[in-house]
Amino acid sequence: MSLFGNAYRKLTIEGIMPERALLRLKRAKIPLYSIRKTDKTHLSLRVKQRDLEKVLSVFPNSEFSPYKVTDCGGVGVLGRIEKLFSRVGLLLGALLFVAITLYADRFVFKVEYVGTDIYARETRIALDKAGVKTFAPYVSGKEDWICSQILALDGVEYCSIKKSGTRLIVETRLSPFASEYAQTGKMQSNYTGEVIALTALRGTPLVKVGDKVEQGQAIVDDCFSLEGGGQVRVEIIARARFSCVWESDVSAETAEEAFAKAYLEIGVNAEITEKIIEELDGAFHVKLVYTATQSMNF
Amino acid sequence: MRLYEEIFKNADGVAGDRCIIVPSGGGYFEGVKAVEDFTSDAMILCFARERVAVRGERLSIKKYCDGDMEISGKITVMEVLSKGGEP
Repeated sequence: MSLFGNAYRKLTIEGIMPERALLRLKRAKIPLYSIRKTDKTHLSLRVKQRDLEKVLSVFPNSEFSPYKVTDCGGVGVLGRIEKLFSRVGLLLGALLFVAITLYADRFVFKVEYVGTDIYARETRIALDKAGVKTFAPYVSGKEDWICSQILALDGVEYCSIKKSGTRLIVETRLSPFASEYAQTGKMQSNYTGEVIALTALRGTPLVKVGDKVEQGQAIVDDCFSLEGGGQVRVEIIARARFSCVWESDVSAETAEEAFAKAYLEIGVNAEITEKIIEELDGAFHVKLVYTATQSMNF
Repeated sequence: MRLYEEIFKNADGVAGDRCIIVPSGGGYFEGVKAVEDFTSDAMILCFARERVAVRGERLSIKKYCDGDMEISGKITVMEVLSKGGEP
């Protein structure tokens, strides 16, 4: 252990008048340090690590030796290192723990929602699409895309994603003008037309695809019938798509103006699938076939 | 230190044995052949021609190598005993 050659070793000399043992050590030209007489027959001293073998050769461990030399271990850093290596199991356990911690740091074990969790379900869907799953290695580089998906939701004005250890922290803040609470009650149609798609994740559909509905008509009920009988009220999560027709005479000077006025009537969320404009005296007969989407807590 | 060298050169030509004491402190000794007695209150050091008794409090040998010895603690009395050498 030439690395620790200059480190100190603590020894104890036991025997009658142990200070006489110093003479033999002095003759062997062994430097001695911190010599103390602890009691009548014991002397404690320190030697350099590299001189330990010389001391043990001057006073070999035999029954005929007048003095008994006991090695009490290293002093300072050397002593601590020796103690550490004498507990190999503890050392290996600590190294294993560190290795497991460093390896586990690559994973995501939990997703935490900070700010508001009203869009927790949408956030989980966005994370799944980006390949970020719990109990799986974290896929970095998709944070901007995930945030863009969350920011596209109603009322969200701020979103950030940060990995902290094995937790993924998703912070979402709503605009002060957005409601944090889900809509309750039945889902009523905002449009008059034909149902072309209906998805009810929670709630009981009252109409089916192909049915004609009027504006204000209930299309999804918030009561859910249980298997054993009875009903429970739930918060509806549903989306419906309608095919509607808007037809009217519009006074305008040009066909484009008539179309623009008609488009404003049906709303900017509509997708026009067919447009018919017929010129009349001083007006235009406009017929628009469009599709519109309505959702509730979706 | 030139004064010390002059003093020791004139002392019968023997400059090997020296005792330097720090009042109420430790001491430094050169030419120590052996340690005859050793406790925390007193120790007897054997030189080539004399034996020296050192008394004090909390005495311990800080270093001892090749006849050079440093004693730590509080030395209050140093007494030259009868002539003697290595036991």
